[in-house]
This record gives sequence, structure tokens and C-alpha cells, in this order.
Amino acid sequence: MLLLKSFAKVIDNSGALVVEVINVMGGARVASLGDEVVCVVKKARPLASGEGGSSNAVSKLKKGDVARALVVRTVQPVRRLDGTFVKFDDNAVVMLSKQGTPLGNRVLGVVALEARQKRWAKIASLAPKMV
Amino acid sequence: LLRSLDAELCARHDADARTALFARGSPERIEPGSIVLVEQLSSRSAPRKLAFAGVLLNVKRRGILSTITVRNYVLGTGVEVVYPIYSPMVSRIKVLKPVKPGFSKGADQVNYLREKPSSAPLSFGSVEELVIRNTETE
Repeated sequence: MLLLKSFAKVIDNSGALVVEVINVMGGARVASLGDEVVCVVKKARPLASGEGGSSNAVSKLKKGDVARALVVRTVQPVRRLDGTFVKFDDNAVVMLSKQGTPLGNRVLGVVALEARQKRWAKIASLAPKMV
Repeated sequence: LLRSLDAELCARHDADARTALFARGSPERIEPGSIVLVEQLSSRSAPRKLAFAGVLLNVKRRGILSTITVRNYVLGTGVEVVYPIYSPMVSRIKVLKPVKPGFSKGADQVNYLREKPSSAPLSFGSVEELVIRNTETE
């Protein structure tokens, strides 16, 4: 249940660490599992400018960047159609580009099944574990 | 009338003696704090099963709508899943390791384990090992 001003953890390697939600796509007030949000990066991993070497993600996000993201974990329990509820211990998102593809190329951490159910196949395939 | 309807529904959906596992007076009831594995069908048509194992956090007894909450830590994040016991999508509830009887002192809920996981008699870390051992024996 993320809305304006909600903070969420970023669980991919796009460079961002904590984002603040500024808009929920689709006109709803509240974003739940599998919903797309627009957010601003509040805390990012320090960019290693000198180190050429192996950078995994092509575009690293830095503090103040505005980007889209997909909500993959919410503390608010979410009801599934079979009557089960799932709830996590934190709110987490995966950063997306404007076209809807993930910005990072690795997802670190568990992701809700709603990602696959709501057409986010790329993120579902990157996720190490889905619940 | 509603009570008889409820009892009839429970009996009809009582696959593999599930009521016995959670009824208050039943001798083989599972106590909150035990480690439990729940297998769930992803959909009626697909045979794929989703398994989730963890510590049984609470049992909510509301007749046909009774639910259990199972908590575990997956890749560092705590996850809780609430299952309706009598749902046909929940194909199996299996006790992997029962907790010492008397742990929950007759209560249905041990929600304090959320904040103090270290006080759980059956630690969350042992869940994965029990699941692996369980799949090996099957």
C-alpha cells in the first residue's frame, strides 16, 4: 500500500537504495503489489566514478532521479483470488525504465507472485524467489 | 441454523482430516509455534504446487473461514502468508516439526514472534533444513 510520500526499498542493482513514491500510475491513490509507481531516488549507492571495471547495470540511478518502479513487496497484506493473504516485512520496488523494462539486471530478494500475474514477466524471471 | 450450515460446510471441505489438526480439543492439533509446510495449487487447471513452510503464527477459528498464518524469512525478508484452512486450493498442510506442547499456553496466537524471532523455540533458520529433509523423504 504505497502512496504519495511512501518510502520503499529498492531491490535491484540499478543504483538506487531508497525511493519515495510521488505518483501511482493508472490514477489510483494507492499502489499495491504489481502496480507501477513513479518515484524519486532518496538514497543511492555511491557512484564509483574512477572504477571502470565491471559495472553490472548500465545506467546507475543517483539521488534525485525520477524513475518508474514496480511494487514487489508490501507490508500491507494483499488478498489473492484463492483467499490467501500475503504480507512482507518491508515495502520494496524494482526500478523500471519508461518502457517498462527493469533498469537493473539483477533482482535481490524475494518478490511477490503478483509480478508474474500482472504481465511483469521480465522481473519475474529475474527474481531469485517468488512467494 | 448457521451453525449447522457451517458444520456441514466444514465437513464437506474437510480434506485429509484438516479439522482435526486445528480443532481446539483435538488430540493431534498443531500448536502455534510449530513448523508447518503448506502446499497450495496455483490454479485448478495447472498441476504446479506452491509450497511455503514456516512457523505457525496463529490459528483463527471461524468455522469454514478459519485461517492459519505461517511466517518465515525468505532471502532475508519476513513473509507471512495467511491460508484459509478449508480452501480447496490448499492441498496439504503438514507438520514438519511440532513444538513442545504447552508453548503457546493454550493461546491461538504467538504473534510476538514477529518482533522477537529469537524467542521462538523452533527457530526460523531450521525451517529450510526441515523442508529439504521432507522433500528427500518423499
